[in-house]
Amino acid sequence: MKSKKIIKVSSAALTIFVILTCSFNQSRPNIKDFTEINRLPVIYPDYTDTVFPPNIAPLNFKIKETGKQFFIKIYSNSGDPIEIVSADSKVKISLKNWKKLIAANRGQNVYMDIFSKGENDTWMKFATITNTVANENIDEYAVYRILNPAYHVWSDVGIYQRNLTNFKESVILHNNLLDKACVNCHSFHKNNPDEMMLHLRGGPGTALLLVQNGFKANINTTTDFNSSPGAYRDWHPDGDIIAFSVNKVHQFFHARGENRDVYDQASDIILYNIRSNMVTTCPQISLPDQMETYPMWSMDGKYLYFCRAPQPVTEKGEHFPYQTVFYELMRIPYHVETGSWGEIESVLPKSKTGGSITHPKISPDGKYILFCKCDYGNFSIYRPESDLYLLDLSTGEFRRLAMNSDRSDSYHSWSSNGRWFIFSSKREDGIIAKLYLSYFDTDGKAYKPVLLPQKDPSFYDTFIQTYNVPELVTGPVKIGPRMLRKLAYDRENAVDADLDPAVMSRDDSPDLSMPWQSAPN
Amino acid sequence: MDFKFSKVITGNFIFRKVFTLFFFVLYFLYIRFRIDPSLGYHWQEPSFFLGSGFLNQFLQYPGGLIRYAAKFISQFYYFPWLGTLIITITAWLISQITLKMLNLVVGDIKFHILHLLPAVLLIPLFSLYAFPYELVLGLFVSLLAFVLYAFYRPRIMSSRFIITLISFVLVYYLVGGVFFLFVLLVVLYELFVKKSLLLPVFQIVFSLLLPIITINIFVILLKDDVLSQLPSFLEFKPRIAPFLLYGFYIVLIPAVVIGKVLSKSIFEKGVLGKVKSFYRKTMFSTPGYIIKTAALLLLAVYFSLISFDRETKVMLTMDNYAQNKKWVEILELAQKRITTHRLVTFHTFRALYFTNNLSNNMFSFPQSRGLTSLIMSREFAYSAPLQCSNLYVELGLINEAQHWAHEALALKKLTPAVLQQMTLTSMINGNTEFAQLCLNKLKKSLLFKKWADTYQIYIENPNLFRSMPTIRQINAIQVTGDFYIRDNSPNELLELIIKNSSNNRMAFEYLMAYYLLAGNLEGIVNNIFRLQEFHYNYIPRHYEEALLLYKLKTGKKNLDLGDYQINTITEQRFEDFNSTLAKYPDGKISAQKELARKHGNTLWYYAMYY
Repeated sequence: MKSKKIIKVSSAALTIFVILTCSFNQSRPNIKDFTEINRLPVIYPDYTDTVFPPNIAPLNFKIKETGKQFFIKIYSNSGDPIEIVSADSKVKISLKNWKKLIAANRGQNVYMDIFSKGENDTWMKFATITNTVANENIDEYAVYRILNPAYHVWSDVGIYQRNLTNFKESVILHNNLLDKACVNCHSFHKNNPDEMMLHLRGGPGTALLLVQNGFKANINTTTDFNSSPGAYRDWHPDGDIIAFSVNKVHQFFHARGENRDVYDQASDIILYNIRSNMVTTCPQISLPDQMETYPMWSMDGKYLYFCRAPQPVTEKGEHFPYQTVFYELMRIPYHVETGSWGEIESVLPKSKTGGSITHPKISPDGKYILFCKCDYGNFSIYRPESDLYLLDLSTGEFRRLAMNSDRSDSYHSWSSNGRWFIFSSKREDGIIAKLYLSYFDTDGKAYKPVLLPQKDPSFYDTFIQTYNVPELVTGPVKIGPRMLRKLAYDRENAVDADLDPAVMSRDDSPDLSMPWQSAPN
Repeated sequence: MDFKFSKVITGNFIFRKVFTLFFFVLYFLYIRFRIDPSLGYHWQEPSFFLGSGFLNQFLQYPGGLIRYAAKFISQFYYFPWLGTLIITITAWLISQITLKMLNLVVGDIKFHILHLLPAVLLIPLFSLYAFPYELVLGLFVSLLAFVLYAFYRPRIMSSRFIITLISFVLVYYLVGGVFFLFVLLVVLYELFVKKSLLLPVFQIVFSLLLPIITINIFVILLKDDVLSQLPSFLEFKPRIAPFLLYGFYIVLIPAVVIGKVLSKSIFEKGVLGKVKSFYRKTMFSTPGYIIKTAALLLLAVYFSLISFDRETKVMLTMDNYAQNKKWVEILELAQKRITTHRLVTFHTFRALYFTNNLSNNMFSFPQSRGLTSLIMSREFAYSAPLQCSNLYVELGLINEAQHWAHEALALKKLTPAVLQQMTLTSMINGNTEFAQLCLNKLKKSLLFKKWADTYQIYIENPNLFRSMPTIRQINAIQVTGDFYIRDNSPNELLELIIKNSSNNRMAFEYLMAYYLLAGNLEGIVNNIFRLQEFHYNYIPRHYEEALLLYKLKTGKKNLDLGDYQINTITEQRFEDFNSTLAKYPDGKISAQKELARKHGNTLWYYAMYY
């Protein structure tokens, strides 16, 4: 009696399993006859003619062609091809099969044949899509911020890390743990996830949270010299010094065109020494009649690069002439042992660029500087004309990269091997920034970028949040949200940075105000 | 069973059923006509979208699932009758689960109407338009979980521990903070009814540990986790309302058990015995039922009287009218002068303009907050970003309309109304890609899919979109030149709009209204030449009043009015105003009554008394 029951239950289970298996794994269609269509199929994201990393997660996509069934074959010179049947135009590639295929084909082309079945059950085959697997890996993790397109008010803001080799995303810090504080400007020393800093504004208080190989600190970087805390930053290669800009930021809105805009009313550069907890600067990088921002160290740490524009003089009640502010690329020698500075020199003047330079980022081999250029000002993410440019430091020549779009292409970060960079671009709709990975070869050529792949190919169809400040890191950030929260609220152990006695304090009223504010509860 | 206890009950069975039906019919009518759940929808805009992406957000923390379910259900508040039905059924379900609880806890005692008390205590909660449905759904699920726990309580001790572990985790994950009500009920049940000690101790410890364990799994704060699902932070009238409701359940078990014990001990003999006997005879007889029923109804009436928020209802009704461009209805409601809420004044201005009354009848409406309500300041707009966005659409300043639609996104989250506004402003601005993104999301909503499908057609046929009368109208007055938006200076902003657009009569009338409200007569005089530009046939009444006042104040007799003339009737009224004022040697305070009667709807009266 009992055994009969077992048999009945087993049979039922087997039947259900078979039904489920059949319904979920559609068998490969037998396509003998098909009509060739002499064009590439339209797919989203546009994974055609790209170069992608050999360790990237599957490039899932949607086929934007009509058809009641699709058959997709992904293949290369070596390894087993991947075959997918899709009834809903979504193409989700098995992680395991994908890894096997691309691992076997580094430096090779990968092809995709897409067949679509029409209403009359006839098959059509589109032209073969070709992509290339690069030889060099990209750093395994990207750290970025996700938030609503920011106007005045922010609500949900989080810093996340994404394992680029699969689809796992986790929170590093979210402002729901911090009384809706703004979390921003995360940065790493040499792509090292164990050396991280980020800023807080509002909530537990304005602070710099610093994590460096187990050392943790909550630092107030304002001093008698700088009433604003450190903002744009770059770590010195030796890891002990971080160069910051200190900015007085103003946001306003346009009646036509891109409606948001931001300008700095003033800015300087300071250096923060982690070991001595001291803020210092020198007159050349904190001139009262100049606005210095976006500091960046050369790879040998002997030069500090930065952007600089003359400080406009305005009468009271007069509009700030934001359209006449153009930032140039400068540099100044720095001697880390003595803390002494050399003479400032112009690297890329406005007379050469015809515009304004922001976000200079030096390549890990020290040969190039990747920067944004826009018509004016320094807030490239709000400037539709912002594009990525490359400066060859050996020749002094610079050029616009071909992978730019007609909308804002901005904030970028190099991978540790210098063969990849990640950047945020609003190319799709002008409002939402998404992350793109671009291959950069040894000749200084940047290739058509790959949109950060998602597990669900429809993910971007309804995702109304923006990605910004992408940074590539070589591994996962281990410190978790709770620990960072604890650090943020640890007022007792929070430290105020000391001001270098050699630096004159400024008779400046404290200015912690920012044009953005937290949404009221 | 002693005396006629059960017989009386049985005899009143039909009465009880009829009364319950009567009670919930009244409940239904009260909610529908006095409260109107569609206004609750308008306030809260619960958003629900199909798809795993939306669901996933709610799986990330305890209580998320109840929120998800509540969002699904409460979106139907959009339909007033359906919303009313949902609320009434919810109240009925809670009364039924309370009845089950009573039966489980004290099986041998029948209660007449006690189970209806929570439905009465829910009135102040449902009367609050901001009251989120998730709180009452969480309460219901907690009570249901308790009933299931008590009903299926295993006989074997070890199984009880296992059931505790499983049920506690499940209920906590499901309902979040309301879980503690479930815990309390379970613990009280174990202590008082089952006389168990070890298990309740374990249950208390486990229930306290559970949130601490889960905060290390979910990225959420303990205070959000535990408190967010409790209604204590909302401003109920009376404030104590939710505590009475929760307190009812907490007190119920010990009170009934202790009552039973006392009834069998000290209330058995002597004077106390007689008291008990009298109580039973009185309260468990027909007159007793009538008294209790009347008391319940009186309590319900009391709660409905004190919890009803008429001003908010008017404000929301008017906001709803504004959304549907029912301008005449807005003015009718504004005439009743129920509230001086800034949003009411703000919509009254819009209604005045769209019914061609702004420059002639503005002062027929209360203007105590007019100056700060005509154009929203940034701080005001934070409380009504979509309304602010709508005004900018009407003024042809689409960039600013888009800006405020995005502020609404941050302030109100991703609601259908926000998505609609972002779609509309993006499409007018020619950004169909972003509009498409918003439409993709809207297509996943149940109630606005049709709207999204219609706009999808517009995206695919831009000419069709542009040929819509409202869009044609907006495009005709749209700002064409760029300028720096100064949202802290309404007159500067309106002047810039007029300068950078053509035929923008609304901007002109708003500018003049601003000058009138600000008492800037020079502003009126300096802009009167624009009447010709906007094809006015005559000088609007309030402008005439301003011109006469200006003449009086400056002593200038001749003003350049072009082809226009001040109406002699207005001049006569002005003379009458001044002569009335002159009648009162004590000055304007004593003249106010008569002036209000005769000239209360004029600029002159406003300038003197506001």
